[in-house]
Amino acid sequence: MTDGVSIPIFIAMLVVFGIITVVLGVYGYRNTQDNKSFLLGRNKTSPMIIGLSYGATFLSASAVIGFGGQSATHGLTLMWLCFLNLFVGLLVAFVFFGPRTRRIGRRLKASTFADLLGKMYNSKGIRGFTAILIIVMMPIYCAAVLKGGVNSVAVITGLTEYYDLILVVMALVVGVYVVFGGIIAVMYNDALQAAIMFIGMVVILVVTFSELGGVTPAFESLSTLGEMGGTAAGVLDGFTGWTTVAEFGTNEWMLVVTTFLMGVGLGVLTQPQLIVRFMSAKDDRMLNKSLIIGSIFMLVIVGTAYTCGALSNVYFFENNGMTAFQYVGQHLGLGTDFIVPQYILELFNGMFGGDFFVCLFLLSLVCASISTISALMHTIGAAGGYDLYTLAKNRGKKFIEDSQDMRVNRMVTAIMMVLVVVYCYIMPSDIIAKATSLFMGMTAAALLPAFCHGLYAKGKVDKRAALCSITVGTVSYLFWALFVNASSSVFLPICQWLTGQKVLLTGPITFCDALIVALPLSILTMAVVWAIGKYCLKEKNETVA
Amino acid sequence: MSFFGLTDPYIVASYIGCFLSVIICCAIGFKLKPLTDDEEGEEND
Repeated sequence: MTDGVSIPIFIAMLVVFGIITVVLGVYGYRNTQDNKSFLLGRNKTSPMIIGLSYGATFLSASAVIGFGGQSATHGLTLMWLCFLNLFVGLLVAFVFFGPRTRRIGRRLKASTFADLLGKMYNSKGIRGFTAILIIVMMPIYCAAVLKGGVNSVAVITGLTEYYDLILVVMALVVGVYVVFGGIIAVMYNDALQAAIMFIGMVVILVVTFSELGGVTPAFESLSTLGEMGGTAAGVLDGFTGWTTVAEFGTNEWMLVVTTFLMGVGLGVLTQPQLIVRFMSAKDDRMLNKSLIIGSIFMLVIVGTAYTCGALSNVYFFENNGMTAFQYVGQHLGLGTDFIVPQYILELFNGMFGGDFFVCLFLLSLVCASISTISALMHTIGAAGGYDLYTLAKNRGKKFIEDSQDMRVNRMVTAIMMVLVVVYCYIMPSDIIAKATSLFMGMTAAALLPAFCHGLYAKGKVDKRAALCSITVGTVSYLFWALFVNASSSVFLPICQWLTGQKVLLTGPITFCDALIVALPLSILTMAVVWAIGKYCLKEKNETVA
Repeated sequence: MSFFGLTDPYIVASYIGCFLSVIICCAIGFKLKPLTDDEEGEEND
């Protein structure tokens, strides 16, 4: 897989990138004077930085190589995820969640998502649970992103024997600038990385359509690929083609729609690392302005990854006589996560300036990974070093005094970075898309109803309803993910250990994502307990009167 | 009916939905309304 990769060009790009990263890290370090600026910045972040940082944190290597590979396998149905990313992840998030989150966060003097939820409900339990959820589940997502980035770089450059070194260096670079530069270094580096990703993806989109004869001929070829002899591989029953949606209710439909589309599409609303971006905005106008750059960035990155991922089938079929998964997954013995990198490598091979563009794509992948990992590490560090430390310090006290100790944040971030590297060695391969969906689904099922209630409740919030909803959402999600869903049970095969079977049920239901069951249950619990609480209060008031 | 070579209405709708979302986001971003009293107050905090 080394053809087309110029190691000297890539190293030169990395050096320049590394120098700018260090400069931005130092800038962040100099401007991080206290714990508040470590957690939220200086409250004057520009709309462009917020938009790019939000987009880069949201998308990562998971969108480009993880879901790009899934699009190559399962087809253009994944474009619905692009729509959900834009509509739910950006429009709904910025219009309905962002301004209220920012205002309530400022009023309550909250610095993290766990802190915000805890203060909304005046509950140490909710704050502690959210922080624990972050510190336990987020490293899995973080490790999947890190592993995906390192795998791609090591395999594409042919430097697989240096896998360990690349992993440690990447983790070290991120660790150092997050630990010392805090959120300021994270957001400015995100913006730099987003700009590199943007240029890389625009080039890939233009070259793909020009190589396949234009937009219409490219899609027509993909539509007729089955008739031309292209065989679908790596798909489930119900797959009908790369330009059509799978048959409703089949295994394929369940996997694509419930896991990839709904799990990630809805889960974004409760992503702690994204919610902090709202809290760092100066005013609502900044949030609205950042929608412009954020939406264009997201459309280009995600739209290109999913469109080119699916179109890679045409390219591979014309050049190698096999469809994407057949060629990369079965013939080359690489996984779904390598379809997009392999496609880029072959697309630019022999082309004028091809070496440069392949290196640019590689750098984009590094950027995509680093931007997400840095934001996740900052969030994990804050959950442990700020939220849990604050709760531990104030144990037994009625009023909580938030920790102002930046050193604890930095220490926890560094320790968790080491843990994430360890996770990379014990996690199964090809899990970027599934790990992303698992984390996002879990946070949405557990926290979305409570978060919405906290933001939109008129009058006093119902703490009991929130606690019940969080409990039901978490328990039902974990049960379904570990005992019913065939994809997510691989993460922790408890069902296999206890019953000897991979999952408890059979049929298409085993491909239904846990979020589809857990989120409605969580919402229902919140509504029922809230209604009972209101009814009891009314009865009590009438009795007193 | 074909939309740039795509015929499945669900796939076509996903592309149209993406472009519409970006247009709405840009429209909201460019619509610069004056600061309300509350917001001005917040900024002076």
